[in-house]
Amino acid sequence: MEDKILKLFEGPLSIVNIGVDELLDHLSELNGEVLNVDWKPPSDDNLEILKKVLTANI
Amino acid sequence: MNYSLVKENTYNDSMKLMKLQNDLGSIEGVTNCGVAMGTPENIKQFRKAGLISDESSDLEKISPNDLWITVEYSTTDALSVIEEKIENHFNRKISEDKSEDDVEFTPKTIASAVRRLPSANLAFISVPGRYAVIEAIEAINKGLSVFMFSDNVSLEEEIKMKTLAEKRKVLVMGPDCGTAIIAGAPLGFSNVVRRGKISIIAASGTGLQEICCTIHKMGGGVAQAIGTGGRDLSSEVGGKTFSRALEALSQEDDTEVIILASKHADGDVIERIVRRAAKTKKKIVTCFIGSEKPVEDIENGVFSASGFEHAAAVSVALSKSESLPEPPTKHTLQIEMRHTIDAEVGRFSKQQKYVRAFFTGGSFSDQALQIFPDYLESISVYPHQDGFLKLVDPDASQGNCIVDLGDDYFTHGRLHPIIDPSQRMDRLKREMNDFSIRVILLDVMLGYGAHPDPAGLLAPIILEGKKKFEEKGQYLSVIVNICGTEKDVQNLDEQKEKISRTGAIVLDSSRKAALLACLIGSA
Repeated sequence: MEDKILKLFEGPLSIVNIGVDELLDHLSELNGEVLNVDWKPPSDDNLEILKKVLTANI
Repeated sequence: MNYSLVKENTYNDSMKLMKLQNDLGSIEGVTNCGVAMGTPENIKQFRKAGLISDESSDLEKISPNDLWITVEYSTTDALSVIEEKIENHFNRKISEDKSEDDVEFTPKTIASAVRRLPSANLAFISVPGRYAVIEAIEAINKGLSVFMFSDNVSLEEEIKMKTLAEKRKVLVMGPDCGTAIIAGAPLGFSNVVRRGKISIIAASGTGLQEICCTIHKMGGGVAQAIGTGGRDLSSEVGGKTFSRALEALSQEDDTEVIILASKHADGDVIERIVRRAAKTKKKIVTCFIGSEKPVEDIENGVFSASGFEHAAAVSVALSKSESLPEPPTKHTLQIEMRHTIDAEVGRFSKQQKYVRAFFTGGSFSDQALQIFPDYLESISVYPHQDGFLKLVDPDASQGNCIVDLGDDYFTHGRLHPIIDPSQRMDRLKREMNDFSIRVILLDVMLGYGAHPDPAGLLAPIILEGKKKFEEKGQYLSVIVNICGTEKDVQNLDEQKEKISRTGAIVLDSSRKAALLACLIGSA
């Protein structure tokens, strides 16, 4: 049941980084696998609708 | 003279904004500047800093997705340099290391990132809080666990994320998760520590850091250090991340001892978690700051600790099958630091009464809240907690006071004080004009993600403050708890030395620091 989390704990970590690139710079130095996403925020006009749609079935 | 520029729909993360602001602030002739996204909180900060007036025409058109730059300058030569720096910032050339191909295929969404990196098992999310749940849900649906550094995320959104994570059988660390060490990889604010047999699950960022550093100092090592976000053990969230992490650690061979740590938590949730923990075959150490009674079940291998340092000490002893240490008390500290206490106490004037603590995280604040009432009266706290006075204005202290500068109020639209100490420095400069203070208590966090030289920035302010008090025939006592290891990038010994040279007292235990502040402050 806990396979994905146990596998996470075993490592290695393979990380998708969304936000501040510099927060994971040290992992690159430690030969960690980090892929930075060139993220831009969605329009504020659509934000609440987007959240409602994404969380509707949770 | 004032230069102002609004770039519509231009997002820059907080670090890039801070870099541009620092670059502009360093121009000769610039007297004040601000660079921020146009959120209501940032507009308020700009007003407070005197950078805008209500009549500013920019206010009418700015939105939270717009980048706002405002610079005050006193020489005509400065304007061309300001414009050049801003142009260079936005026209930043592709670095020599990257080929055009790398830039062309930089993913813009989690979905495209996972296609590019099929082995991805964790999403590290540090976007502004109001967008964070969108990214988290996409990541969870792709089978990734999530480390959410973002704060200012609603409780409802946290519950949704963690409920979905339960269904997808992944882990959500956060929101407002400052630190973790997973599979030996330090995430967020974290310290370089030895690997070993002790795992920690903590709804407590700086607390988790202190536990890890103390384990390392005592010769032990860390298997996994899992941050859950500060609200995980609330009645609403119900310990969702704690429970999942505990189930996984109970099956992990590398883990022999599990520390369960939290600042304020719901009693029923704690009881449920501890009952489950007692059924694992691991040794359990509990450290629930603010819990009414020790949470333990010694027969079933559950031991309670008093504070983060003690939790680390107990876990190291358990991992080595040694006898368990006692927690530090007022009496042991008085004996240990008798000379220091005596040297400080005799120097105050009659008007000096108060103890003021300014922390970079809630864990040390909560720990101080358990200790201060035994020695001090009328304690104001921000963020407010029941049983204590409310700070009328979070930016202005009153009486005896504990302020968590890592709280959402102070970090909305701004960098966390562990990364950018400037907000705390400004606060300290203001505080040091209040000659009714006896003791100022601070924490300094080292490690990845933290400022490269926090002691170097703090030391001159402490020196200046002490000098101001001396000129008035008074004495300011300053106590600094430095949390880090000898392997951290900031050089622990140098950081301690810089603070010690100011005459401040340096400790490496938040509980001892809070106790000492009270012993000196109440004498």
